[in-house]
This record gives sequence, structure tokens and C-alpha cells, in this order.
Amino acid sequence: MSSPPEAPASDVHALAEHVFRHHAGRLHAVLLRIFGTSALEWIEDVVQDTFVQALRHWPYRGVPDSPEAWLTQVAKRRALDRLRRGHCSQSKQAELTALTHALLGESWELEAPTFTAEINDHVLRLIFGCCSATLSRDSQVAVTLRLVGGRSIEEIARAFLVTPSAMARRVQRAKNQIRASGPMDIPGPDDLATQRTAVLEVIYLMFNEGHSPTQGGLVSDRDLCAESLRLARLVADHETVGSPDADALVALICFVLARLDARHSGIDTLQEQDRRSWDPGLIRLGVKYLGRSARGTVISSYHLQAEIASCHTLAKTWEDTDWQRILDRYDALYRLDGSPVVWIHRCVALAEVLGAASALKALKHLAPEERLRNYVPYLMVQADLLRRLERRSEAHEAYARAEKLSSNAAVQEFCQRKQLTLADAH
Amino acid sequence: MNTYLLLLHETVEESGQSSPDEIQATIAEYSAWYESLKRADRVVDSGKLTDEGGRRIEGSGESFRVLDGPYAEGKEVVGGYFVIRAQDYDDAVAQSRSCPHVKYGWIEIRQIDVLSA
Repeated sequence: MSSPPEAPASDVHALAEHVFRHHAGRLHAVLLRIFGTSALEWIEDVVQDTFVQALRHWPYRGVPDSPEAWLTQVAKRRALDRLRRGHCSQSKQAELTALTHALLGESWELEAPTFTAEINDHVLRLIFGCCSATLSRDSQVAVTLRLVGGRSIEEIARAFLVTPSAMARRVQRAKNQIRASGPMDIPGPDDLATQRTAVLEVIYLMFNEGHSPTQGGLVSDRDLCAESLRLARLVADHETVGSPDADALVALICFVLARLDARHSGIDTLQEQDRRSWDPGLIRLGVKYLGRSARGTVISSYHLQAEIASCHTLAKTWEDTDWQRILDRYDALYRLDGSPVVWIHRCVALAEVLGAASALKALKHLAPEERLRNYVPYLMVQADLLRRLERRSEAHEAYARAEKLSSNAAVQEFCQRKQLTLADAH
Repeated sequence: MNTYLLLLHETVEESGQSSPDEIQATIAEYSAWYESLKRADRVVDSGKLTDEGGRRIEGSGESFRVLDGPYAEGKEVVGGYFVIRAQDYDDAVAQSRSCPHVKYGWIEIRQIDVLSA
């Protein structure tokens, strides 16, 4: 496929990145606000039809001056057609029509007022609805990606490694449950903290999956990371919903994302990365949100992780890194959630503070060796520590085992590279 | 410069569920083509035709008839048209071959005949 000729930006009504996907989420949110959760049955069809109309019209006349206003008006027309064909009473119809005009505006040229300020409220309602307590975490993530993130069932199915029809059923069940749990809204003061925790966890899971896909050939899914950042900022920036832990999550995502492109060519360790290729804009944003996150009294796991990420990201060199501070934060994090992944990362920091021998000893405290022998992150760190202790054949064996067990092609490639280096040095 | 009519033929089929990103990518391709043509001042006119196939009339007097358009039943329709300026057919072909439409359908190129004294 030949690439289209380069055009000066001023001449072309360029489409903002992912405008369709992001606008899908906004249209879903506003339509649900107008028509209630029963509209979960049809809003996706309305939005899909709208996009197909754009696909059929825009090639002949170019992209309209305001693509989002155009899409909004077409979607509005389709929703109102539907309303007329439906079996609503006259008065209900009139009421919903008026609300539709009020929320979606009349203009094909300029953005309706909804799409500047109020839209965030509608989208947040939808996010809270998708993270409803009656759903499993997996379903929450899937339905959030579908309705808020505007991803297709096929795309979500690929990320979850299930068939599209299985994912379609899962999303349908989730939508049924959302309908059954009543109107979607931003929770009141009593429930806000609990429900926000669920929302942040869903965003955090999306980010983790984007940042280190469990399977497949990708080192990272940048789009999924960017999507998590977008949603996290929506929560963090909202007047009543925002909170210090949401700020900390934004900071964490910024610091990790800033380094992401530097490892796109494959997995390399922080030590090997060219720090000049890190994104200064994201780092600045991270610093800003980390500062804001300090206003509370509770230190969440996001605070600790963001602080660790900031230590790595702000250090000028690997040697310059404040390892003692990182180790302290990992200790705190381990006390908070006690997860093996945290312990493993703690051991990496420990190696820098007390040396590889102490770290290897600490690593073995985690669990009986037999159980860990199948755990890829453990094997990778163990291999590196063994290498540093000049125990080459054991290091080689650990990398070989990690390579065999991992289902991520980038991890496998990294392990092969390490094995070659170890063999060469023999 | 001569003037050429490009008719974009397409086969109507049940459109699968393209993702928003896929739709956007396709539109971006078309739009890059269209804008580069416009910048070179080659576009005279363009438009999308409605989907229903139109009307067809024939005969006169007693035998005059109005029928559904030629495409009403067929699977193939003309989705839209461009009128462009080009030196000759080779040039018109060169302008059109980069149109992404050729991936989804085919393009009929006809020169508009202007008889000059």
C-alpha cells in the first residue's frame, strides 16, 4: 500500500487521532444520558451507522470543518428517527426530543456546548455505570473498552484472547446487568470513594495490560496506555469525583508512558535505555499530578507506585537513581498489598542498595522454589541476579526457562538475547 | 487541460462491523487523496449519490415509462463521482490510481467531450 502524498497541515482538515473512537464514547454517554440505560440496546447501532455515513460521504467532499459536530448531528437525527418509530407516548417523545436538541445542539459547524464542559459528566456517569459493582473486573474492563473507549468487539476480544462471539456475549451480559442496576450516575458522597476505587482499578488494569501485554508479540499497546491516561485524567480532573489517588494514578501512568517509546524496539532494561528519548511532556505532566496527589492524608498504592516511577524517570542516569528511596517505597507497597510482583521488584531495588547476593537471598523468601519455577517475572529477576553473581550456567538456565514459559514474543526475544550473551562469555 | 468524469463503482454488500479506528483510517486515506487533488487544482466537482438507485426513464409519448434506477436490484452501484482536470487519459489514470477506492471497487474514467471549432 502506497502512503498518501504529504500535505501541508493548513490545507487539510486533518482528523484528530482516534477522533471516531473517542467520539463514540462521548456519543454513547450523551445518548444514555438522554434515553436512559434501556438505550444500551441500540446506541451502539446508532453510532456505528453514523460512522458508516461519514465513511460514505466524506470521501467525496473531504472531511467537514468540524467532524465531531457533523457526527453528532447525524447521530442525533438517527436517534430521533428511532424515537419516532418507537412506542413512546406523544408527551414522552416531545420531552426526549427537546432534551436531545438541548444536549446535542443544532449546529453542524461548531461544537455543541455539551462537548466542552458537560460532556465529561456524561462520560463519567458512563464509566461509573460500566464499573458497576455487580460486574466482574474482567467484564468491567471489557464493557468500559466497548462503550467508553469505542473499541470494537473484535479488538477487545483480541486483547482478552477470546473469540469475538464469546466477547460479544460477555459484553451483552454486562450491558444487561448495567440495565438491571438502574440509572447510571456519578455516585453521591456515601458511595463515591468505593465506586471510584473500582473505576481506578479498572483503569489501572487497562494500563497494565497496555503496558505489558500478557500475550502476543507486542512489547506494549500504546493505544491502550493512552486510553487509560485519558480516562484517569477524566476522573482526576473532575471537580467532585477527583481525588488524590486518582491524581497519583495519572502521575504513575505519565511516568511509565514517558519511557514507553524508548523500549518499543523490544524489551530492554531501564539501564540500557536512552534517557533522552523519554517524553518530556509526559514527565512534566507526571510531576504536576504527583504534586497534586500529595494533598490527601491517605497514601494509596498508586501514590507509592507513582513515586517509584518518578524516581526512575527523573534520575539522570541509572547510577544516579535514588535506590534507597525506591526500596523504602517498595517496602511500603509490599505492606499494603503483599503481592509477589511487588516483592520481586523490591528485590531489584535491594540489589542496587545491598548487592545481588542479598537480593537473591530475599527473592527466595517469596515462596517455595517449586512454585516460583513457573513464574516468568521471578525467573527474569533471578536470572539477572545470578548473572551479576557470575553464576552463568544457572543464569542461562533461568533465562531459558523464562523463555519457554512466557507467551509474549518480546519477552522470549529478550531471554534469547541474554542467553546468547551468557554463552558468549563462557 | 481536459475534463474527466470519474464514476466510482462499488459492490453493495453487508458491511461488516468496522471498528471506529478502521473507519477513521479509511477516511484518512480518501481525504489525503481528495485534498492533494484539490491542492493541485484538479477538482471541478464531486458528490456522493444517494443509495436508492434513482429513476430511469425511457420512451416518449405513449411508451414513456419511469422505472426504478438501473442499480435498484443489482449488487453494483455508482456510489459517487468526481469531475477532474487532466492532460489526457494517461494523466487522468495517474490521478485516479492513487484513489483508495480501487481497493473497494472500480473506477470508470470518461473524458467529457468538448468540440472546439
